[in-house]
Amino acid sequence: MYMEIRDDACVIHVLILNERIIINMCSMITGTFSPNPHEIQSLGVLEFSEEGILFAGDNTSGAIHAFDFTAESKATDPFEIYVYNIDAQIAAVLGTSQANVQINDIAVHPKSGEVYLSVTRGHGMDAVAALAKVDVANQLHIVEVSTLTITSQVLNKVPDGEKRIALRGVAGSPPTKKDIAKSKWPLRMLSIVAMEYHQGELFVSGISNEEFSSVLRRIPYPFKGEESISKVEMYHIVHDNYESRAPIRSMVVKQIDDIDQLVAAYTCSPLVLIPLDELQNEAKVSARTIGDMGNGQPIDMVPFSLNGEEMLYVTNNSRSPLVIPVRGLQHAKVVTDQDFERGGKVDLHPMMPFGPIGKSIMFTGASLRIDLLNERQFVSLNRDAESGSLDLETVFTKFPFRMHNIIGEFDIPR
Amino acid sequence: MKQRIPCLDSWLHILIVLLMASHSAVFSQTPYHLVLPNEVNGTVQLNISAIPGLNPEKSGYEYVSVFVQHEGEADGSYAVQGRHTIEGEYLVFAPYFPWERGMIYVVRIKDPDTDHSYSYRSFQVAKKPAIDKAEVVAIYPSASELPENLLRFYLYFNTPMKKGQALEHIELTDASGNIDEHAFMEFKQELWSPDGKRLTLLFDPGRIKRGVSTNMELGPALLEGKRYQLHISAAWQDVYGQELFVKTTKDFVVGKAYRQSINLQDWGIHKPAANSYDPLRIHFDRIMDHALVQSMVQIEDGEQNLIPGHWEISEQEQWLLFIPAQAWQKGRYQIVIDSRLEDVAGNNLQGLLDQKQTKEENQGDTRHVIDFDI
Repeated sequence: MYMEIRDDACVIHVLILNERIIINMCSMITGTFSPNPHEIQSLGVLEFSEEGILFAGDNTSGAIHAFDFTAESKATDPFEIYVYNIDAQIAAVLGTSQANVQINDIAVHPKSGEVYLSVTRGHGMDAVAALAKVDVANQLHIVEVSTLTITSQVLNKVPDGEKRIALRGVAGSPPTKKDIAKSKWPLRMLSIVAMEYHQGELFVSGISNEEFSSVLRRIPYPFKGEESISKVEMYHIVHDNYESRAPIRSMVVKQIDDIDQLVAAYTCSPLVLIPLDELQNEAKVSARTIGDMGNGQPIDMVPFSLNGEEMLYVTNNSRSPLVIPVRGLQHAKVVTDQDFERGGKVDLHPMMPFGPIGKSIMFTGASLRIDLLNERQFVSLNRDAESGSLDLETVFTKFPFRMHNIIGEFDIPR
Repeated sequence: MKQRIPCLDSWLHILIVLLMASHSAVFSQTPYHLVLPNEVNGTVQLNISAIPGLNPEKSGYEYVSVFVQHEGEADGSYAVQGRHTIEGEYLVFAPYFPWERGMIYVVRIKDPDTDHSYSYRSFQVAKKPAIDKAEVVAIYPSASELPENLLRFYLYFNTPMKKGQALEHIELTDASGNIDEHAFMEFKQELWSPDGKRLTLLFDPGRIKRGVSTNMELGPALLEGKRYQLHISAAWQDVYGQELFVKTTKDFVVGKAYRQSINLQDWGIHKPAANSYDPLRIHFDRIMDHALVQSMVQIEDGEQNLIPGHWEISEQEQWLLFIPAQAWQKGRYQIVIDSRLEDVAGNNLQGLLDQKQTKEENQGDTRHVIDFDI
C-alpha cells in the first residue's frame, strides 16, 4: 500500500509492504495548485528566446521562471551602453549599499537591445532577488516583476540545501579564507549553471542530487511540467580523467557535422560536442571531447559573426577570451584517454592548449558576463583592471577594448 | 530616473535634522506635512493638498525622491525606485524593496510654493537586535481536543532552530507522565520549512494505520478519552546557540478519530453582504490542517478570475475567513478547493489517509468548487 503525507512544502512517500513501513523521504511539491507562478527566491542565469521570453534560473527555489518581454519593440536608432560603477548605481535604486549588490548575469533583449541584469540584494537569509534593466538611453530601472506575465517550472532531482562544496587548497598549501567560504556553498547553487534556448526547448546544464551529478535538462517551452534529464560524462584532458560530477559552464547549439549539437565548455577547460538527439530522459551521454582551452573557468559562450564567418566568443574567469571559428569544430577529431600520455597536464604542458580552440585575444579588463549587443558590438559587465570598478560597457567584436586604461604612443600629443 | 542631489552644505542641514528626528516620524514645522517610515515596509508620505491635479505617474519623483545617503560626494546618484500613488491628501512613495535597517535615507521634497527649491529630510529605520530571541511561537493544531488519529503537529519558532535533534527535545507523555518513546516518526532528515522556523512533527504513521505491525505491537500513540501533554524542552538551541530557555507544554485531550473523508456538504458557508468588506466565513466540520488550508483554498469570480484578498484561520482551525482586497460586488463566486486539502488526521477530499488511492490513481480532477451568490 502506498500513501502520501504532505505539508505545504513537501510530500513524504510512505510505502507499506508486508506490514512494514518503508519511507521514501520528502520530495518537494512540484505541481502546486496555485495559479500563481512559483515563488521567485533568487535570479541567476539569464537566457532570452528570439521572441523575447526571458528565462531566469532560480537555484534557491529549484525552478526556472519565464518572463514575457515579447511586447518590446525593435530599437529605432543605434545605441551603445555605458553605465560605470553599475553595482553602486543598482544599490542606489534598490535603496541599499554597494556591498549588498551582486550582479549574477546579464542578457540583451533580442529586439530592443535593452540589457537585463539579475541581481541579488543582501546576503544569506536576507537575500532577495531583483531584476534590473538598462535602457537604450542608459537609464537604469528596476523591473516591477509583479506586473509581468510569469510562468515557472520546478526542476526535479535538485540537490537539497544541505550538501556543500568540498574544501580544498591548491598544490599542497592549505585552504584560504575564501576557499573556506566557497566550501560553505550548498551544491544546490549549481542546479542551474547555463541555459540555451533552441527551437522551443530550453537546455539547462547543472548538477542533480545523484552521485553522477552532471546533468543536462531538456525542457519544452511553454512549460508543461515536462523535463528530460540526461547524465553527461566526458574525458577531461588536463585531469586525464573521465568526469561526471562538475557541470557544463557554458554552451550553445550549433550545427556541427550536419546535426544539431551542443558546443559546451567545462571548467579547466574541455571543449566538447553533444548531439541533441542523444539527450533523452535517463540517458547516460558521453560527450565528445575535441579540445581543451587550458586552465580556468569558462563564463559565457556567445555566437557572433566576424567578417562573415561564424564564431564563438568564450570568456573565462581566469584568462583572456577565446574566439573560436565554428568552421574548426566541423569534423574535429574526438579524443579519449588513448590519445594522451598518462598524468595531469597544466597550461605549461607542451600539448596545451589543445584542439580547434581558436585564438586567445585581448580584452579590456575582465569580462564577468557578456552578451551580443548588435552585429558589431558586445555589451560586457567588466571589472576595470585599473580602478577595480564594475562597469557595463560596449566593446567592439573586432577590437574588444576601450582606451581609458592605457597610455601609448598615440596618447602623447606631438 | 537619474536625479541630482545637492551635497556638502546640505549634509550639515541633514545631520541636524537627523539629530532632531531620531524616531519621531512626522514633520510639520514647514509648509508641508511629511510622514516618514519607521519600519522597513513603511512609506514616505507628503501632504499635497496645496498641489492640485498632481499626476503621480508623471511627477511623483519630482515632488518626492528618496536617496541613499553616501559618505562624501553624493552628486549624480539615482533615486531609490518604487511606486508613487495618491492616497487622499497624500502623495505616497513605496520603494520596490524594503528600506534597509540602519541605512540613512535622504528625502528630497519639492516645496509646493516655489518652482525650483527643494527641502531635505532624512530618516533611518532602526537596527534590530542582531538576532531575535529563540522561542516557541505557536503549536498547531491549536485546539485542546484532538482526534485519536491526529497525524502531525506544526511547531513554529521565532528563530531558525538547530536541526537533527528535534526528537531529543520533544516528548509526548500521558496523564501519568509516562513518556511514549515511539510516538513520532524518526527521520534522517527532519521536516523543516525552508526558513528553519517550522517543524512538521509527524506521528509514526505505523501507529495510526490500522493493521500495520507497529500499530499491532505498540498500539496507537493516542487513545480516545485520555489526556496527553506535548513537551518542548528548554535546552533546545537555535542555529545561533540560543536556548529556548523555557519549557513549552501543550495539554490536550483526545477525541474521536476522524474516519470520514472531507465532504464539502458538511461545511457551513456564511456569505458577506454586497458592497462590504465583510469576510466570507467558512466553518469546517472538523479541525483542518493549518499549513495546507492556507494554500489550497481560493476564491474566484464567475469567470474563474482569482479574487485578491487575504485569509485568516481562526478558532482552532475550524473557521476560515476570506477578506477581499476590494469590496464584494453582486454576482456569482466560487470557493475552489484543492482535493489534496487535509484535515489534521491527513484525510483529504480524495479519501482517508489510510485508504487513499495509489499515487497513479489520484491524478484526477483536483478542483472542487462551492458556488455562492452575493
